[in-house]
Amino acid sequence: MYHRLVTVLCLVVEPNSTRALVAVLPTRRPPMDQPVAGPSVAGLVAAAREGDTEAWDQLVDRFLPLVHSVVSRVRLSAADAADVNQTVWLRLVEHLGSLRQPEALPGWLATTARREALRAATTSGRVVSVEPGAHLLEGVDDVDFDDLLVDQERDQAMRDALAELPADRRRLLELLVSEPPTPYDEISSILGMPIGSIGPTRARALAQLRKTRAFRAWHEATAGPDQDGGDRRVP
Amino acid sequence: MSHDDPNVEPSFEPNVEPSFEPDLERDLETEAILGKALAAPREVPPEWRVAAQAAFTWRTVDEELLALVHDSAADGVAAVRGDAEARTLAFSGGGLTLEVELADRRIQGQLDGDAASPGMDATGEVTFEHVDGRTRSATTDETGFFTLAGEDHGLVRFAVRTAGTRLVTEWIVL
Repeated sequence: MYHRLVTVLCLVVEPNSTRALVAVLPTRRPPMDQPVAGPSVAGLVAAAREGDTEAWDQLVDRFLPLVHSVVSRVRLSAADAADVNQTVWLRLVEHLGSLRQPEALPGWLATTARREALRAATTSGRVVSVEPGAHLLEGVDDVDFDDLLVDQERDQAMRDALAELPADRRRLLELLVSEPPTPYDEISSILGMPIGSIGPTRARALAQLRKTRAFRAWHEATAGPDQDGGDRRVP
Repeated sequence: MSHDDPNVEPSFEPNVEPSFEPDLERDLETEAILGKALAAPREVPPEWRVAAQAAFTWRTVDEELLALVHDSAADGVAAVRGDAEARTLAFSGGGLTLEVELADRRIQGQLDGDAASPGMDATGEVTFEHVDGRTRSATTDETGFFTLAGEDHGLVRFAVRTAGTRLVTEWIVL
């Protein structure tokens, strides 16, 4: 509901007041450290269209990992890959106003990233081939491509779910899943939590994570609804 | 549930039942997918994020877009010919076409009305814009020809000002 509110309001307010509006709305969220998932993609696109830099930065944070994983599938030098990334985002800036279905943005970004990466591979001069791009398509076939979008959706749902948790729980889970994992004694001193509480708090935090709106929405979309968030092997 | 108590501590757990039973296997699975989700952004080079954010400064309102309709580098012909120095590009939009050839450290080009707009005024100023902010400009002659000196690499586009309107091309990588 909150998302829709943002979208609708952004359509009717003056461009210059959009930033203020978006900045003010989060204070009306549920109390304390319990943010609901951020504005919807459509809401962020609508705000960015009006010039809201913060909304743009949120779109970047959301979808940069997707663009990165698509571009990384094509063999490019680091410099060429960075150019592709920049091109993709400049394309999005160009097309912000004409995106018909903002909610289809992930697919649009992934398609654009793949096209630009293949174009870079064939035009960089390093690849001279009678059939440009033929062997480069390895690793970016349609099955892989769909998997990337599914992975990206899951990753985003997990990040959104984590954002719904209270700050102390969020921090604990971040430390637990960090790479390399943070030892319990370190977690204890960082969070000021007795070592003996970490295990039980972890279990409760993970259970709470599975009950967040973002996690349940993702789980229902992928595994079908069931009572407790499901026990199907989580992919 | 008594959610409306304003004195509730942030760590209060409305979602967890008192009869809480940990599910060890699911916890490990949840941790694994959460770990992957948090690792994904860390794998992105930091400068990619900077570039993606900076792209927004190029947001323009109501500028007509000249779309890339031909790129000699994309058809592989130049590479096969061994003539890798010359690259021709063609853009079209807003009733205009823009053709450019990049070779020998200069850019030569011509503005023209497209097939549907033969009488269009195709003279004006053409600006070569580099994504890092550098620009170079040239004024066309009465037939729409122009020449820009210098060579560049990276993301660039052309901006055309003609008869009071401004058009920009898609970004291209040189």
